[in-house]
Amino acid sequence: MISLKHVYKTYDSDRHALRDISFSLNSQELIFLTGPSGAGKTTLFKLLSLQEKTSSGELSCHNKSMSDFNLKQMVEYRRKLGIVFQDFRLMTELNIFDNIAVPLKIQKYSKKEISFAVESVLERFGLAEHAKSFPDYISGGEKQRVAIARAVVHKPDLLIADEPTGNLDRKNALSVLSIFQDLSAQGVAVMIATHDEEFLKSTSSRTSIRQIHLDAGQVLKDQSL
Amino acid sequence: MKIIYIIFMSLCVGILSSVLLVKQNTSIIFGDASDLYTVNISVDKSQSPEKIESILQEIKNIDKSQIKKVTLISSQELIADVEKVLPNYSSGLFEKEELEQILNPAVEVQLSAEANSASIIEKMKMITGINQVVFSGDWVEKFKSIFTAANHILDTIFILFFIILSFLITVLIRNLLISTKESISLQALMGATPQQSFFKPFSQIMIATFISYIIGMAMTFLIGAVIRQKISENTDLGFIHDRMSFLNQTSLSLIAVGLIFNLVISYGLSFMYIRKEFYKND
Ligand SMILES: Nc1ncnc2c1ncn2[C@@H]1O[C@H](COP(=O)(O)OP(=O)(O)O)[C@@H](O)[C@H]1O
Ligand SMILES: [Mg+2]
Repeated sequence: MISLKHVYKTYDSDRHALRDISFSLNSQELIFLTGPSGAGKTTLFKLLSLQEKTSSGELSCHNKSMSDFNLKQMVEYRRKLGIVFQDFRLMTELNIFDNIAVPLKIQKYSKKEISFAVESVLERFGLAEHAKSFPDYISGGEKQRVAIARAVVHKPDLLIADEPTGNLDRKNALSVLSIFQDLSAQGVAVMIATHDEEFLKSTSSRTSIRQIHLDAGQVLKDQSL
Repeated sequence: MKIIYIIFMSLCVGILSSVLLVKQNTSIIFGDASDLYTVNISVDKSQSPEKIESILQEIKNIDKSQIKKVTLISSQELIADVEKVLPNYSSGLFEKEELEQILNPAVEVQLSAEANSASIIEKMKMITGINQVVFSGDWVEKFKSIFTAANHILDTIFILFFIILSFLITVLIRNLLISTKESISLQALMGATPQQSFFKPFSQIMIATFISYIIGMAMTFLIGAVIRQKISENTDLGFIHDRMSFLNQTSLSLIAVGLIFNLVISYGLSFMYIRKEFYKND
């Protein structure tokens, strides 16, 4: 579905944030992107969400080079993408229900479709009682689940999550992990960045898991667990 | 924060529309060029109608292209004018014949604005049977340079405040975009089009601009109404009161065009900014 060929990214001319990255990812894959802080995980996600351009190499989606995307294609691509941000990035002026509804509103779903889809994810992530709460008044674990709910409510093809468990305790982290496993079982390609390799050991073996290990901008390991 | 912008924008709009109001009314009050270039000639008394007719012809012949209109005002007409002004009790004070003896028939000549008035007036004075030549444009000529200077100042004020207004609107949209940057970038990442992403800040700028225009115009209307009120209290200025008008269609269209121009500029600027910031790929 998505493939990278000899991708480089440099911010300042002297140092590469990403160096010669090549791999491809397919639907239903659950990929852990591991590596120490500063390895280039966030940078890779910024390329995947078109927030940054590659310095060289090719990034393509369904064999179409993403650097050739026009505005319309870019918007369409982003609508099939779900992003879970490390710092959640919820809109504090909207309640939980409306936060989760944002991607659907952008894609002009009808009111009925929105309330049906939002209610079902609220239910699924155990957030139903918080529908009317505001982000500042819920716990960190709940915010994380809202962020994930918002990233999947529009049924994306690819979900990217940057350090999604960084702010969570072990119990919450495990419950988030099982959510990701369910999603990939349903056909969503899921990519999770984490600097915590211990975390991988806690995954149950019901789905196949792939690990891509980055260090100093290079892929050091690409293996199935 | 937005309130301060609205106050300053209203002031700008108030100044802009006041300038338009003043410009529009100066031409109405002081009349147009044809009003200004009038020569009043009085003819010697007790001339035969044939002689007067030939004087009129001689005036016309001085310069056919530059003399627009020649009108004879007979003694009878002048008497009628005088009687209109004088109170009733004065009627019968003079015999009509006596008056005709006193009043000279008059001729009103209208010159075109480009006419060489001095030489034409010289030639008029040389026609026999003409008693006196008075050029109403004489005083106008003296004030004309001041008048044009004042007009230039008004134009400059207009342009200056239009630029300030555009600048204020641009700064306002910039601040709104920056303060909503987080939500704009989030929406862009969720697949919102640039128009969708800046819908909220742009609708805010639209509302703020409309409010400012309405307040500014209301200010001008109020000032106009106060001036009119003051003028109507002074009977000598009655003619100004009659001629003075509020913003006419041209001024209103100019203001509307300015409003649309400013909104188009801020729409374009926000579109460019957002595309550059959040749709880098393209
Ligand atoms: N906007 C930026 N400007 C300059 N350098 C950057 C920028 N973003 C990231 N970097 C650098 O790129 C490298 C990779 O960073 P990042 O992708 O954030 O790593 P990770 O997410 O794995 O911790 C780091 O050395 C970082 O300093
Ligand atoms: Mg990072």
